Amino acid sequence: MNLKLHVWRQSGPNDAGAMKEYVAKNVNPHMSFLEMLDVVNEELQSKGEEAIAFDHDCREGICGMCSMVINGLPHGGHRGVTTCQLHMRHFNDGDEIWIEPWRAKAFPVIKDLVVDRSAFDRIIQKGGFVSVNTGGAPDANALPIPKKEADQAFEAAACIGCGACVAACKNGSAMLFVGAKASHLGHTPQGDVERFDRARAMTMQMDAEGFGTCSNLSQCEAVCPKTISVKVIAELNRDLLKAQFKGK
Amino acid sequence: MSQATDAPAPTGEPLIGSLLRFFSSSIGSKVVMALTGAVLWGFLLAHLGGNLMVYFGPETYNHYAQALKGNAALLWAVRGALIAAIPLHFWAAVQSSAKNSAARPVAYAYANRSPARTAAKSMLVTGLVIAAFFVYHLAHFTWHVAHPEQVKLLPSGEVDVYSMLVNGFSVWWISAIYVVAQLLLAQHLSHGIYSLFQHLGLYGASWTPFLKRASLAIGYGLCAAFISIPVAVLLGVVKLP
Repeated sequence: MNLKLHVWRQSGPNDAGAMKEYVAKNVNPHMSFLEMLDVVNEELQSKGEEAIAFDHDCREGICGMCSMVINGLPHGGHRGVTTCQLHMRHFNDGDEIWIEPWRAKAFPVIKDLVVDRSAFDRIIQKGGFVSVNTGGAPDANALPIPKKEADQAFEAAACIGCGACVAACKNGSAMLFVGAKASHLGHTPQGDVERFDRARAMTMQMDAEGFGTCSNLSQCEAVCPKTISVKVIAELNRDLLKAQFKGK
Repeated sequence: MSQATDAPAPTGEPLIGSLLRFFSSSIGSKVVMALTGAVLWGFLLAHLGGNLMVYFGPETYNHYAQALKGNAALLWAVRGALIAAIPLHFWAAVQSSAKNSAARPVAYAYANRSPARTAAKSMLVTGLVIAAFFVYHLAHFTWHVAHPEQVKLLPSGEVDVYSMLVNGFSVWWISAIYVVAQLLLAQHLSHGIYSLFQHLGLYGASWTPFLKRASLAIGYGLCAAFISIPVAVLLGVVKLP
């Protein structure tokens, strides 16, 4: 099939950037979206033009690197799917496709569709960890964790930190990401100890990075490739509220 | 060693300072929004309860109005709560809206299609229109400056609140203003009620889906009850004796 692409091109962080049109010819419907772009890039390079820069790594839907807004929806908007797992069979011959980078003040564009997501790393550095003093490794199963708690921790731990939640949110809020990290660690006994300090430190960093506030629109949940629930946002709100009155 | 010593709150900081800092954070301003929203929602419920007494006739309604005016302690407690809650609700909205518009300096070329209810996306607009309506509503029925010709006195010298209401809503365009404002209020509440629970961290996998539907039902139900009054006047169900 043949497609008309509108792609955001920006040569560097200080370039204004603009949407540019391309034609993708003979696209195989079994290709992933990234493979389709690979083919477009090969043709661009053969003509001596600059290839379209985009983030990608595992191409298995688990690394969180791919990041593009396709026709107004992060990762193309199929439930629980990253861009690398989005296949061209979801499109029709002759379709026009708009491809843009994540848009947020905290995610500045580096080049074309590549954005700098180190704001997430700095939030993690503030509290996305469990403090463990060195020593002998504890026995496996020495610390029983109720199944329900373990399940909740695992659900939140599925977050791959791709940033689709921020890209989708009307307010550019990172609450689903921060909530997922806080919930992931807070539901285990090892992480529970620091949950209030963690909630406070991570949300303060989130504010400092310039993310927006949560209006409970649940756009993040709808586009999250790991289908993480806004429940984690409520948990983060509760932890932060409790932290105020515990004087921690 | 624990890196958690990074925690921003200095130990020994007075509670009030820590609370002020909390309330100006992104989550804290939403907590202010939620708490003041709950106050305003409670007020609406009580206000509706009083308004519906109009269906019991002029005597009951005027008696209720006079009893309310006679109870200065209750009246000022409610007014005090509103005078505190409304500016705080507004301040929280302005503060978070400013953060939100700064958070996405470059807009998408293709409109954001991430699903969300229109009511949820337009809270600021509906809120501002409701605020403007609130001022008009006070000018109409409390301060008697918007339509002073509608104010008649009872033989006892008190304001005849019942006839003021009927005279007011008999004018179709005044009723239309009230109906439109209530429809926007319904939109605002239909998201706001669910949202306030979420901001306060109150979530349950078993009851939150129900809360979302209840939020819609309560929002629209409450406003339908308010709208019934001007409609009843226009239809002649509620009329001057």
